[in-house]
Amino acid sequence: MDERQQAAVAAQLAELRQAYLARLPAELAALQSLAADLGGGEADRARLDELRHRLHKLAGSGGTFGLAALSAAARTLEQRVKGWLAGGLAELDDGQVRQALAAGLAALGASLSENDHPASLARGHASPPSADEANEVWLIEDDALLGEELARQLGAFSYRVRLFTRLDDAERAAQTGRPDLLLMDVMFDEEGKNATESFARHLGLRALACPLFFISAHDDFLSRVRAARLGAPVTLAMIDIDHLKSVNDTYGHAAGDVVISAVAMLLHQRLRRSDIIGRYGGEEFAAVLPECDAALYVAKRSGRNQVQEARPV
Amino acid sequence: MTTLQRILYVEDEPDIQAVAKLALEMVGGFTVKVCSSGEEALREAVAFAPDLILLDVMMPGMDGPSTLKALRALPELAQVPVVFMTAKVQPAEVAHYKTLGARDVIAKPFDPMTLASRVRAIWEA
Repeated sequence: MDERQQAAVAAQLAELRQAYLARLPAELAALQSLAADLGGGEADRARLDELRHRLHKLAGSGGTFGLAALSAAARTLEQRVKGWLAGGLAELDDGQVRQALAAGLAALGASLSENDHPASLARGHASPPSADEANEVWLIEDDALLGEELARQLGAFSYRVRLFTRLDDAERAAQTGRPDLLLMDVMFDEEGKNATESFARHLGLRALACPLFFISAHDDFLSRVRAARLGAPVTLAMIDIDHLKSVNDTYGHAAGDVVISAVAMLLHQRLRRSDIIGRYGGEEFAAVLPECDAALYVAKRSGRNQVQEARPV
Repeated sequence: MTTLQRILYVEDEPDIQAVAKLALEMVGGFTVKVCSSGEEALREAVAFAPDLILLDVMMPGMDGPSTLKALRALPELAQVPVVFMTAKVQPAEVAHYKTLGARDVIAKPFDPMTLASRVRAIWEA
């Protein structure tokens, strides 16, 4: 498929997604009204069955359109309703249990991120970047399932992702195209050689000027993917050192390097041991913060004097 | 081996149907027939003569496994590879689906840009 076809597919997908987002509020309202009609007793069975079915569809369709949090929340509610259907409805005679279900359904809308709301799409400037201006990430990962999951998650953040399961394929692609970021599984062996060694022989890939990320701690990363599937938040924070240029200009680059390593040291001290931090560009750091949903977490913990800005990606 | 061209796709959720159809037709260049239930698939499958069948696992009425069993009972479709699509892709679950006769399992949600190549890879495996 050439770039034009790819863009055409992306455009149609974006259209489907937008139509879906437009229909979503009505569906969420229908779920809430179904829950509001529950009154306890056997009469609820048909309504619960309908709820279970619609939550299942919502979990599936939400996931398809990259709404991971909505999908996970719907899946959790689906399991709860399924439990009631299987184990008897007595629990639902308790008004508080019904209220909790209604609250859970009401919270589904809140699990949509700011960008996913149809209203914010209509604002134009807040809509996700179009296929043309989206950052392109090349992902080299030999585990197809994991690769697809990562690609899907990155896609949810409006990155264009090309997945390669072999280094040679990426090398060929590097002859003609260039990504904004290269993301590579380090625990991946090709012909008995570790990927990092093979990478050194791929001159086309090495010549790319974009940042290169290695996915290390393979098992740990899998658990994070799983955590994301279950709805546990993972925050990716970009940390930028302001005014580094003036330090470089005034005191020289050696002094600038001292500042960078001091900031790195500071981040290592202030972040949790489970957090991962790496240098992203000249004056930027990227941090992966599992089980953390506060976008301001980094700013809070690092102290505002040293780190001025933490913006979620 | 013949080339993969005709895919029967069974899925009850219309939004997922639309995305998968787009992914298989536009990206993969396949000829796709969509059925919204196992029952519909049983009525339409023989006439469509698919090379491969993609089957959602969780559907109201006939679910994926019972649809697979019923399709297998039709002599014309006894040998057609069937691939399940499901959110449940723990190794034990995948192994279970394979014992039911599925060629492979595709995880949901799928990536529309790579679904076609994944299906092709399963076909060629």
